[in-house]
Amino acid sequence: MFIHKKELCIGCRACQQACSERSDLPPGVFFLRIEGRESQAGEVSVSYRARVCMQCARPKCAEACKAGAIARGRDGIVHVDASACTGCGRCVSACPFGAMVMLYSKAAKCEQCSGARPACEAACPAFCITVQRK
Amino acid sequence: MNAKKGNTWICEGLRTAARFFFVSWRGLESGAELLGLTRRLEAMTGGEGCGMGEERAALEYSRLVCGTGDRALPLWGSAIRGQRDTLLDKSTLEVVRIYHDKGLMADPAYGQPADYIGTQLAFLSYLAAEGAKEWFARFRQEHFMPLAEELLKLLRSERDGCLYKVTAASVKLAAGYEGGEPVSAELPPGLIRFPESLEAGFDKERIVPTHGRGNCGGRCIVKSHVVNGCITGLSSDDSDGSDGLPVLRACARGYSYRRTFLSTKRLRYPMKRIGERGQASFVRISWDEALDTIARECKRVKELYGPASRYVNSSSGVYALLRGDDFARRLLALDGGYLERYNTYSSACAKYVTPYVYGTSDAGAAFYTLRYSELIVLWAFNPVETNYGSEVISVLAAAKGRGVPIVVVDPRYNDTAAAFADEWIPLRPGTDSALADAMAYVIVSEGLHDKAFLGKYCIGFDREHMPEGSDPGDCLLDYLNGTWDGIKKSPEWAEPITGVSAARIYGLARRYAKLKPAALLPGLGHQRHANGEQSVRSLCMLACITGNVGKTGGHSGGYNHIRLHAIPEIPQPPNPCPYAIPSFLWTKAISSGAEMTRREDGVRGAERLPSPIKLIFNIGGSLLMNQHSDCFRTAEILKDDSLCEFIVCSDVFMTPGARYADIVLPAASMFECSNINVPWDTGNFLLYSSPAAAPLWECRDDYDWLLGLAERLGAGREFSQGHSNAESWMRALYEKLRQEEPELPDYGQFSRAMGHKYRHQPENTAFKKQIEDPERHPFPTPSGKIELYSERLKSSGELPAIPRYVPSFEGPESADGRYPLQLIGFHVKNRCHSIHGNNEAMEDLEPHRLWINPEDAARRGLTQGDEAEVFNDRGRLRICVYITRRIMPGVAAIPQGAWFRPEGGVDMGGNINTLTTQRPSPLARGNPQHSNLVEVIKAGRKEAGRHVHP
Repeated sequence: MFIHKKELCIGCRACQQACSERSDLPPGVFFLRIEGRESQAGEVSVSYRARVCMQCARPKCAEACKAGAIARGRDGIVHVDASACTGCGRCVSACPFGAMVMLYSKAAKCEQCSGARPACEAACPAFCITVQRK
Repeated sequence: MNAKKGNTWICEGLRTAARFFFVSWRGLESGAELLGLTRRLEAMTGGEGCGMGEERAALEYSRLVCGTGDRALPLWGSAIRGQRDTLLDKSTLEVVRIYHDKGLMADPAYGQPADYIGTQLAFLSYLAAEGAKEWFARFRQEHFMPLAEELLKLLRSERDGCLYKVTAASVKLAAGYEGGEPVSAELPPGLIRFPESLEAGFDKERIVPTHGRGNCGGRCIVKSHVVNGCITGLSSDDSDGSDGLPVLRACARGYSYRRTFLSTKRLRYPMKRIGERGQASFVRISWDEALDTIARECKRVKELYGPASRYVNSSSGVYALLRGDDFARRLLALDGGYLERYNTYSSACAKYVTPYVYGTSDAGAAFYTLRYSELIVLWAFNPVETNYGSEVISVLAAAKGRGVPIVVVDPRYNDTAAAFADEWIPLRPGTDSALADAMAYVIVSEGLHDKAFLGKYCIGFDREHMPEGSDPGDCLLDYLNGTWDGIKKSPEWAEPITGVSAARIYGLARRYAKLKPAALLPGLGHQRHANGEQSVRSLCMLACITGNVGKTGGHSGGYNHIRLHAIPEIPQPPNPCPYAIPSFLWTKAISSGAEMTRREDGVRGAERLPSPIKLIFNIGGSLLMNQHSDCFRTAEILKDDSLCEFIVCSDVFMTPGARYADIVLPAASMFECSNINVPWDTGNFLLYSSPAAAPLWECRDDYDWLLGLAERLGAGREFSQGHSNAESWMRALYEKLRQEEPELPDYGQFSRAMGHKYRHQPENTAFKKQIEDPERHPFPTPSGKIELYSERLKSSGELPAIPRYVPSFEGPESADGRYPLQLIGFHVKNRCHSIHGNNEAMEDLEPHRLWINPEDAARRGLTQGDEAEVFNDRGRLRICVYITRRIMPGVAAIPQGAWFRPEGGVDMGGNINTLTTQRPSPLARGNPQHSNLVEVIKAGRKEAGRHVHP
């Protein structure tokens, strides 16, 4: 489970960049994004939220995939089998969190650094990200 | 077509193509060879030949293959994979492994990554000779073809050039290969047999420290994971602070080092200018030619204009122990001297004026002392975006956690305010002193001031504490009460000046006076102004009247610098030239140097400079253009090579300034050299960096080429002191440092541990001794006390005797119908000054936009995301707008550090320095880069009397 303590987040996006670095993502493609939202009225304030795969128990992306390339594993992580992916993009539009992306014509997303210590968690200078694994 | 002609034919053709990419460069003379190879390939593949002349062929090769022009082409496989535009990555490693399977490796003599298109062609030629059909087909499909096709796509506009023709012919040859019997052929250029000596280390991962070395307060840990010379990833500090030591985690910039510094935009070979300055027309030359030229110019300029006409420009691209600019100064000092400089662009006013108050510029406090503060006021201080020290975030987070109120004073609701502030006080730029005056007025009129402190430690507060011989009426109290001008400096007085409501001023003043200790922590933004000196003094004044000076958890309000540990430095021999200028005035020293005087320009060492600047070394820095004020004016001055006659630039990229150089040298990046990284000022840790890869192409560490230059100037031995390389200097300077810092381990352990975090983290606060024991420790001022009233400043005539608000040029009072908006710059999380400014992948972190308030936007018919032009008499730039309440009305802001890109008189890069002035602040002669008045219009609109071309 990806836990983002919003009240501690400083919006520095070190996690976002560390993620892109770990996953070798080209410009404009993100597995994790920190989005800032500005208050529209009253006192000026900014809050941050993380856009990342929630590893849903019943993943919409998997339901949308006609090639059967997406499945939630026993490790609780939703995996994309790139060799089976046809690149149709249905999963991208199906994801309610906007967390599925196309990477070099294949669907791709956060798979919590495949067992290594997640780059986002290790990068956060404000200690606001925790990735709990099954 | 060619298959029929067999292996020999294809093998020979691909070898010819490889030879093209590994041509041994002999300047324009190489044209004949390049044309010869191209024509041969054209003949082999049925092409129409190449009608280009020899010189043009050589120039094209220099520009496109050697990278001396503006175009960065993907000549390496990794440039189109992974992060894109990142060399030596996992895909390069894949290629290394394939070569290794065939007992080969890329020839390190060329400094080319293994997936260089030339090396790939050599490998294909080798496979063809071997008759390895499957290998050939796979390598062709997976590596060579995608790269070649991408290259051909990008070269469409240069179809008649050699590079296009050679690439196209190579594609034809490679596509035509259908296998065949092995043929005997020697190894093509670019490949060597894999040496047995390296076999044991093959595929072993090494973790190499390649820490941050830009000019940021952070100095984070960046570790490269290296396999077979390729960098497969970066990681940072694994610690979590439970050991009580600073956690040096990299920020977003740190995690971007590979894509920034291992980009195809890197400079690769030395080059000389062949066109007008600024046009970036260069041609590749040899290192010998480059160094011979620089040595010749150093001698010529010294003889003709004197040594003081030679200048080493400020730079901070490498902000670590070993710096090219420091070594260049060392060399020129040994070669007869040079024009010295003082001040920095960061802290000119703060560092210059704080000693007038406290007697020293070391007026800061260790960040850890914020643990003891009951109130924290971050005044023009934005550590979340600027990164002022890796420990600051955790200290502020802890304070917030304890419920300590945090106030942010800034015209912009910056990310620090968003993360930590209870209260945001938007203040009109340059009116800091007016806010401080009003706060002081409230504190004093309500009797909340620390009378004992003022009486005991300060002069100038009231009539009773004025120096002998001065007019008692000049005291601060009389000014605040309006004794002479009849104006009480009340919040009601300050409200229209500062834009802060009187109610807020009362609130802040009372909070600051009552909660003790309170840290009024200044950044540097308030002092990069036309009246920056006064703003610094005003914050000192507030700290004094509340008695927060010299107390743990308080802050002096002065320059936030304190030395916690010794910091190693390159030894500088005495400079035979006694002259120095404020670093900000170097363009003036070019255009009218011989008229610069002590009185007018702060010249030191003489009443008048003996000569203008005629030669500049600009090493690892962008102050040659981008980060200096008024880019268009700078460009005019630099363009004229009868003024400054010779400019040498060493950098990793063709920066906006390097375009104006006569000789450009390719520097090694942090991935390719050693250093010791020292944090700003406080110095509570040291980091050790070593090369993760050998310098790419013909890049060189600055010390290395400067040693070559020193030898040509006959000063090699004195310059090097026997140190043949940078690492040797590091070891010697480290050993010297150990004598002062006994906690440091020996060099071996230091390097293995990749640095050292001091276990002893002092919690120093400046002036503790002076406050606790004033008899034995007077303040190092002429009076021995804190000088709120300064006789020195009064007699200088440049500033008033007391800290008080002085309206400045291009302040809010001078805003008019033509230029009604104040414009400030700010640091952003995706750049360290101009570093990373050419890494497009960072744009997402903080899009480059003009921040403007909804009121101001509406008045100009601007809607979110519109493209706008921002302009004043100095220039105009193009930028998208971000309409937000996060900036106060009447003020606009542009993130500093974007690369200047003039097109038809408009800076399309959106560099704020297109709009900043070269006029200095009055006393320090500092850079007032936030004192600007501008107007903003929707791009492409007509403005009075002038049509703006889209």
